[in-house]
Amino acid sequence: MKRTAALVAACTVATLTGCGARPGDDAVTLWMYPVIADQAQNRAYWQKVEAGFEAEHGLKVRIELQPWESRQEKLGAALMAGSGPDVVLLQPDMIPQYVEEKALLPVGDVLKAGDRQYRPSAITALTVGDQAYGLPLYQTVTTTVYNRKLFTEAGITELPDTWDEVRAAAPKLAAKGVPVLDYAGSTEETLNMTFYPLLWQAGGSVFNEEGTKSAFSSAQGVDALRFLVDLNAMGGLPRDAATKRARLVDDAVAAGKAAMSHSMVSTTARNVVRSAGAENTVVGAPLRHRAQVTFGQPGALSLLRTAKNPDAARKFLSYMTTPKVIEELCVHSGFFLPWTGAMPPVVDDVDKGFAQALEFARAGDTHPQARRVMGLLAPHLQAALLGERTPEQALADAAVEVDALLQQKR
Amino acid sequence: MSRLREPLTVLVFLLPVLVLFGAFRFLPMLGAAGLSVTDYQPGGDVEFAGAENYASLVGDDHFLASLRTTLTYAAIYVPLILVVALGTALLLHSVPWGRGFFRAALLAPYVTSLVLSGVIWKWLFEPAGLLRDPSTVLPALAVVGVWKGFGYAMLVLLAGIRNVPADCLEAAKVDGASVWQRFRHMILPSLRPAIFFVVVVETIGAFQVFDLIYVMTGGGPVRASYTLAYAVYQYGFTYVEIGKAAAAGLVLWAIVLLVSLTQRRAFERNP
Repeated sequence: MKRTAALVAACTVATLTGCGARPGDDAVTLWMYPVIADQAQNRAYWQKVEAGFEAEHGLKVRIELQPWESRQEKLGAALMAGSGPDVVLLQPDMIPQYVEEKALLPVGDVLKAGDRQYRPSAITALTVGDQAYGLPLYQTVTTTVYNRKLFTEAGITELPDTWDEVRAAAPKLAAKGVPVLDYAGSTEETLNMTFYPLLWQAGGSVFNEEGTKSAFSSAQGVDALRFLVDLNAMGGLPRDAATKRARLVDDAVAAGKAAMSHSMVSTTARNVVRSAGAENTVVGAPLRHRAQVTFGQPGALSLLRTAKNPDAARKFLSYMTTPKVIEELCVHSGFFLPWTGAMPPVVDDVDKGFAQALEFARAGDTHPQARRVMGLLAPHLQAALLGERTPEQALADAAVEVDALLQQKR
Repeated sequence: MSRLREPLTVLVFLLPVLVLFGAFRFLPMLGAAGLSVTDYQPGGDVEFAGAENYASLVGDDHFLASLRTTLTYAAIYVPLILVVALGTALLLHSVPWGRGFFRAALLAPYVTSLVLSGVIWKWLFEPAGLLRDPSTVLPALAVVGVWKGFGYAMLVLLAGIRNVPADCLEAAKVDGASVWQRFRHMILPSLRPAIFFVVVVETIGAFQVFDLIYVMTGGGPVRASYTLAYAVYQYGFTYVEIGKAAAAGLVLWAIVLLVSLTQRRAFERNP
């Protein structure tokens, strides 16, 4: 009995000490996401980066490949637990929130050290106050992509490039059982790739110029939401549009379940090419309404305030912005170089189409509460799509909540 | 010295569970209580916020709506799982052969991965659009919750049914008591402790429902499945408002405690 009791006590002590143990580690840690869609290529590229940086600087770097899904939640949890990375890939509309929460360090010194001319829109999008908090690695853009075969089968020879033409095409496609526009209205989707491009095309914006109030509950906002609601009523959106999630592997346009997307990334467009054929895949310009605009943003590396060794992390950031590293990343990812005048690394019809959309790109409405506002607005958009609210009511209800939040945070 | 030996030995044997409970339950709870009165920033800054986080919950319509949603879910889920578990336990008790097989088969959902079963149930509900309609999403989620969890409750109730003396049931049958009369006046009274346990455990589970929502609806559509536990998650990890999330978590804990104590009293008053 005594022996057993001693064993139990020893195991307990061992468990306790084990809980507190933490391996010493001075490597710079980067959280990276699958910007290169091919997993094997993605792993190989980042292993090469690790080896290259270590060989050049004699410092260790550990690149942790994370999934896109729930990235903000995972980063938030890690930061709270004090186990976050030193460097992380962020998008412009995430940066103001982290700056406000004092989680980031400025990186303007690293940005200025390079000899490349970054796209001014990218630098503006990554700047809060007068400090840059992100180093652009690549530039993305979304645009309109069509599955031409579905339009032809519905007797439509001219692909729609304005809202009115999309509206006109909807009933003909619906008669064939095909929604004209793919739309993913799940609250887990970023509105940057669903509702906001339509809001901008209608001439609206999410916030007022000062960022003190919402601006989406306007004639332009109602116009954008009514466009979706009208399409939905005509069978012009997928049946589950209000709650649908966007999927790369099961994309509706690629699968022939929707005729077009108003905001597709190049990786998904290549899926359409694979399944519908290059002859049936058309990468068009962003849809035209009051304005011709689409979503496109830089992917940027940010330095976290909790970095164990900020000097080593800055050296790594500097290494990551060297042309050879970035050019190879863009070749594998299919994204654009973050510098002005830079052409796409691979030129085919898909790349050409996306390159032409670059001039219409808008990096989202950056604001410290941008992501929170999406969380408040998205359920109201769902309510309108489900017919529970009119577009006017839905946006007005959302505006009340958003304005209260912005007032509270001032 | 010998008088001390026995309690000390007991304490040593209890030590692992006490340590684990302390480290993974009690200390985090104390930590949450501390966090709930702070403004904790991801950058490491901590400021004392007093009751500000609790006050912001009171003024937060979404939090109050999440409370109503959670109560609605519990009101559907708890009676449903009790009926299903009791029904299957009675059936299982009365099958003359293959009881072990059926017991294992009925327990299978309980040990199945929730992510996997959530995805399958999403496919099953898709044609009817049950997860897309705010009025049907909670009943649909409750059905999945019951399917997933009834096996455990069934085992508890089955153990209770087996405690009813078979000769008494046999004697009642000989005396002309119907199936319903035997169930109502003999089995059900002796099942009270087991039913109490199931009701308490499942009520706690209903108030803490998160994984199903996370996998199947993300709190939608139109926040129709936005429960308290999901609100805690969203405050904490999506909006990085750790103080408010901790406050919401403590409110959830207080509600669960209150409901459990009330249920206990109700069962004690009507033994």
